[in-house]
Amino acid sequence: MGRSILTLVCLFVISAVGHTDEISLEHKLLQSVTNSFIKPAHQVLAKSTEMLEQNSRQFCQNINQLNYSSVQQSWFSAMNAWSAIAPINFGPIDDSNATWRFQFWPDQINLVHRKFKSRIQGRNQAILAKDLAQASVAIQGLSALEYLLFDEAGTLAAYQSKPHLCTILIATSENLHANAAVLTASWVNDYPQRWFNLATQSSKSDYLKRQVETVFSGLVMALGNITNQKLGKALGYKKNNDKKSKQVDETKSAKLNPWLLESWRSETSLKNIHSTLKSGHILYTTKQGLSDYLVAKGKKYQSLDQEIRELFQANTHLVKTIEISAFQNLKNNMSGQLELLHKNVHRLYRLLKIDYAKAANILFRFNAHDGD
Amino acid sequence: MMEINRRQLLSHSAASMGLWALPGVSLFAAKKASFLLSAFTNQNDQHFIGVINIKGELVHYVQLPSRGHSTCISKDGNVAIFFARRPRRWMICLDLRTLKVVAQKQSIEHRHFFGHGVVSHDNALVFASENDFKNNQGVIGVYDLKNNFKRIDEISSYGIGPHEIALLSDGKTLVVANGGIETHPDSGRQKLNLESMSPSLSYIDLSTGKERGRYQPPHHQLSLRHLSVSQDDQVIVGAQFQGDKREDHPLVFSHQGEGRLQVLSGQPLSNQRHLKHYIASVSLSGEGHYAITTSPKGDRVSVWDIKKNTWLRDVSVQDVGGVFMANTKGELMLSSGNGRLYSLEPEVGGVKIVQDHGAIHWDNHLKGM
Repeated sequence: MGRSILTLVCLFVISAVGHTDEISLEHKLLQSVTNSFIKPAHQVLAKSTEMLEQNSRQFCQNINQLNYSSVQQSWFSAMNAWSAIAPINFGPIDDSNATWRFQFWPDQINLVHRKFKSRIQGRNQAILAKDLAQASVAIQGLSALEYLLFDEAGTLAAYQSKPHLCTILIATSENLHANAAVLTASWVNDYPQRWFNLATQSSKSDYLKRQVETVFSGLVMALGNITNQKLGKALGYKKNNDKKSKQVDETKSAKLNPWLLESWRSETSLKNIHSTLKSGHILYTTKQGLSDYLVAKGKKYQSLDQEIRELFQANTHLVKTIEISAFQNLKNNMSGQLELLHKNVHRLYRLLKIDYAKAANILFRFNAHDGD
Repeated sequence: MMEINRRQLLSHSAASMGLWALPGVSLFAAKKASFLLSAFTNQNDQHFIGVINIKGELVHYVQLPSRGHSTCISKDGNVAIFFARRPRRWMICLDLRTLKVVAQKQSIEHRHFFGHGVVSHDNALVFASENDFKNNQGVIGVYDLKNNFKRIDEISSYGIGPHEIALLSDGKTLVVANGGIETHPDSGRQKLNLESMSPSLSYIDLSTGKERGRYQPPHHQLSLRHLSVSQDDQVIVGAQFQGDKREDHPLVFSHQGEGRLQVLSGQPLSNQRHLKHYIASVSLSGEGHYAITTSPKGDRVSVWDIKKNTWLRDVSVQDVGGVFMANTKGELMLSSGNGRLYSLEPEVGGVKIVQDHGAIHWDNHLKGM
């Protein structure tokens, strides 16, 4: 009897210690990811949008080729920073429903152009940043600025002949920076405190596990977005990896369509993908992050972890080796390199979504992410 | 589309599909025989409709062109009509006696389905919520059930984005949850008018096609999506909040002839926040005492006393979506995105796993007969 009680006590202690370790592992992951990845990535975003606003003002004070190139360059940096936070689709940006204020895409019906048309032509042109915040999301953010800086409606000559374009450019970049500053301030100042406030949670371990699932899902969804939206649609895939399927409700052909690429106007779609892959790699390998979390679940998962790391590295390298823009590739009916990239990113996506999730006992939610 | 007949099904066991079953609770034992229907997606992102038997086992499935959403069933129980999830355009009719697909229809030009429908009380017509995306307005498509589901008419839904629809007990009043959100199939599932959206609960007289009443939620970004109607015409409607999620808004409303939607009250704020501004499904219990709402974003099932319009309790169920009255005793069945089917006793909040289908994701509606 005494031995049984002792055994029970030992089992209880062992399980309690194991439980505590698991909680601390998850808590550490969230803190590490927040401090090493999320905060710095947002600070880069805020800095780059600030620069974009400054350069827009400078360009509008002195409209010339040099300043035009500078403001275009700062758009590249801001878009790069925005693509880097693609896996952070939770927290303040989700709470404030702000994603579309940063980027209106996909835009298969060219709504950005339709919404801008009257303004570009000089009607309904007076707009301030504070008014813009209440306007259609199609005329806010990086998609709008790409239109204003890279579309034929936003050439240097257009700015020289239509001064009101500058009013729109400055208001749009000012509004973008205001949104980026608010988002960044949330992550840097108050959101982590609320995120890690376990006092209000009835089950701290469940709560922490759920938050790890949120971080993991953010990464998986960002990779899925590359395969399904950023590459898949333009390559003519009907859904996911299924190019051949003939759907009864799909009437479009599976032709290559460069205008379905993300940043076709500036021809920088591959740069965006590179930025997301690179930041995904950082998120995954951050100390005490998702990689360490997997390995902590058992040494048998080291090979899976290694495979994921290698695929991140290989894909980030692969996208850099594509010298011609995705837009020009598809416009000239060349899809080989993009197909390879699509295939390899899809492999990484599946490896995380299925193998990693199973190994780490993480639930990749279905209805919670994409219900109706 | 792949159809599998009963013989094939016998040789095509759950295990061969990568599914597995727990020695679960026989939810419907000694109860009224019943089938449940749900769309589901497997790990290869292939989409199906499934027929689930009284033990929660998947007894038949048909592969779909794209992700399905919800189902309505003919009054004689012979046919189930499955609708594509927005913005897709198919409607598939399954004969529940033979398990054969008897019709497969496309929405007409410039229309797509929103995923829900209802069969008229005389079993002659099917009403489907649809998007007239050319004119950016909601419509209700009318289909002749006895004439190969031919589309014979349409009426206005009196709002944008009609989602779930139901008939009142008179059989001639259609109640529509107009979500208020503008979408266009060329923009996928993107929401185009969040600042100006105008959701409503509309009552339409089917004999005239005219609107008899329209009721709006207390905030213009509370998108009304899912509803259920009791035998005495109490409508319970669930919302999805599309605005700033740092704000707190009630998500479940009742309406039964009052001048405005009635908030189902009493849910503590901390519990309300767990719902994450999102109601995925609404169902009523057999006796009409309880409404059950699901919130997959917050892993919550909420039980409401609709006689007192108050909250009773929340139950935690991971990624829960579908809910449907399972038998005449008032038990309900729940489905989840992680492949599980559960039973729920609303009076005590008891939840048991009925079957765990592991590798599949049940979509967020469960319907039965």
